[in-house]
Amino acid sequence: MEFAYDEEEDGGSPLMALPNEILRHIVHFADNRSTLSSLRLVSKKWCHLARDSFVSTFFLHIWEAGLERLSQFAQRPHLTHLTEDLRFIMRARDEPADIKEDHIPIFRLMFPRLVTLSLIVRRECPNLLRSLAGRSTLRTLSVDGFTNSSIMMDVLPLITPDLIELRLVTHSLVSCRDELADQLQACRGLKALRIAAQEINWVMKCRWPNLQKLNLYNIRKKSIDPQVFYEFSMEHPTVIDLTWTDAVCLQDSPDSFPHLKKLITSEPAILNHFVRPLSSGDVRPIGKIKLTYIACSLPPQLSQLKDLHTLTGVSIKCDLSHLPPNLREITFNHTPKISLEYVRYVCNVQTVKYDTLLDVKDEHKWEERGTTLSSSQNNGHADIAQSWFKQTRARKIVFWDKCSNVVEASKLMFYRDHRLVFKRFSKKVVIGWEVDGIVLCSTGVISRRE
Amino acid sequence: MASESISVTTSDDQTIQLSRKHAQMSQTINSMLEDSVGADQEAIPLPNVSSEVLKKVIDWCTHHENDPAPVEKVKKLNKKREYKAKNSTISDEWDKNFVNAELRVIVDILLAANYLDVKGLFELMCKHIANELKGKTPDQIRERFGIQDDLTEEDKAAMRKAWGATKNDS
Repeated sequence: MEFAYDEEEDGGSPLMALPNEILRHIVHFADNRSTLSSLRLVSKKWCHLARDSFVSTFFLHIWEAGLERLSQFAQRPHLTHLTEDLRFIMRARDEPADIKEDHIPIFRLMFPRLVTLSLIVRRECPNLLRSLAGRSTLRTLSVDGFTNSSIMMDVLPLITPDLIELRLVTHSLVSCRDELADQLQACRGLKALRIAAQEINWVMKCRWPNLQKLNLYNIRKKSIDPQVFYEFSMEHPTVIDLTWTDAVCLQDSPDSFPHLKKLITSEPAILNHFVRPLSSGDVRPIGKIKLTYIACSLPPQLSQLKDLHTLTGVSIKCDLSHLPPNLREITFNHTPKISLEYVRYVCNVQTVKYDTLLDVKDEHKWEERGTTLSSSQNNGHADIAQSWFKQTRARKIVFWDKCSNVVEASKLMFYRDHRLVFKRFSKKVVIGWEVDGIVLCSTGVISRRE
Repeated sequence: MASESISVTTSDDQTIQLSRKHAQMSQTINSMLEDSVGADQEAIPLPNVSSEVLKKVIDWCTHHENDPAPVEKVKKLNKKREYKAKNSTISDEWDKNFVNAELRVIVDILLAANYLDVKGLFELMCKHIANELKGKTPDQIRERFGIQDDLTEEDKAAMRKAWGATKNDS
């Protein structure tokens, strides 16, 4: 919206004595969405500062009424000339569904310095996609939400050879598989690829000499040719970060991705494959592992999660006894409790993150390991947490916002020399605590008062 | 050999001595010194800085005299690093106490840091004000900084429609 305001008007505030350049710099430091949203309603001057900052200091994130708001910038295209990061959501119900034909030339001139483009689009919008295509500055492209395979053909021109990071989260790749393979192959500098494809042999035939991060999911079991995968893995020794969430048959190729440092998987076979030593006998340099839905053959629906958490006696199917010796962090995400027989293996790891309570009882072996435990979902388990608190001797324990009840439980720990960190807790919960000389600071960290 | 201390004259006609090391932390004074090599050493005029504010600036320079020189910002594609560059956290306890002052003083120091081109101090003051803005509703921001509300209800309604409402909207 437009209204007149006097740039010289002081308005009585000392802050208004500052030149606009300095005020913009200040806003630049406060450029999160909620602060900018507040600033726009403070005064006319601050509205202009916030709006300019919203766009010109690097990013434009549009979450609602996407195309309508984006079209407003067609009236003031200069505001988009510094924008490096455009994130855009268009829902299925949003109107209009696409930009007008005669706006395409203007949109082509907008966002000339675009580096990151993230699109979640659930409707056909060929004009918009066409007008954003061919940005030579673009390095990161994320495309999500397409359900109609015909839209993928419109997405293809967005994939430029200079891309460094590409994320295609859509299940509509089959219709343009060959064209997409050609486009991907041309991205010689690609360092990170995330792709959902039921059948990925065509992806595995591409070669990217600098590829470091590979995220493959929604792969249909047995769809991958083990030989094709083997060749791909051998020719991409640069890959250090692998996410492979689906069940695939792997050929016995111990030297695949030899420099892998981080692995995320929901498939025991993948974990077991990558935790084994290389054929030379050298251990893999894997430092982080994240296990998701590990005990299930299929990812459960969210509604089933509660039942999953209450399962007892379900042991992880992976052989944790072969965890790499240099593993620094292991995360259990949507997994049942770790059975006790495995605790002795993971307690050697520096950081253990989990979203269900570990079954830590008398047999646990956490003592004097310096392990950091990080939990995100202990809500409603205060009694278990109390028991757990008594027994663990981890040096540092991190709690996330959902586990509010453990604040009560954590009182039991005050006599111990442990470091407790509360992340994303509301200040109401944590500020003002002081028991036996131990103070809960506003940062959420408990420390002993000197 | 160059003198170890520099004289400057402030806007309220006070002459203040400061060490060459501290003076050189100001790009403005540093440039003046370079321009006046070989000339008579007269007090450098600082017409935009009062003695009271200059003393604050010197305090800050004294505390940070051993800090590494600020690195020029380079364009970063890496989002994490970019976020770090824009991070407004003030980690130094001494700095936290330093910025614990009246708004008028903060603004004066900020203007002085801008004029004297003391990058670290300038960034610190901007971060401090930005932190004061964060998490506040429009009403709270107006109250904290004494800003007049010159927007009509129609303006606000139109902006909420264009930008979307948030929980901080009042």
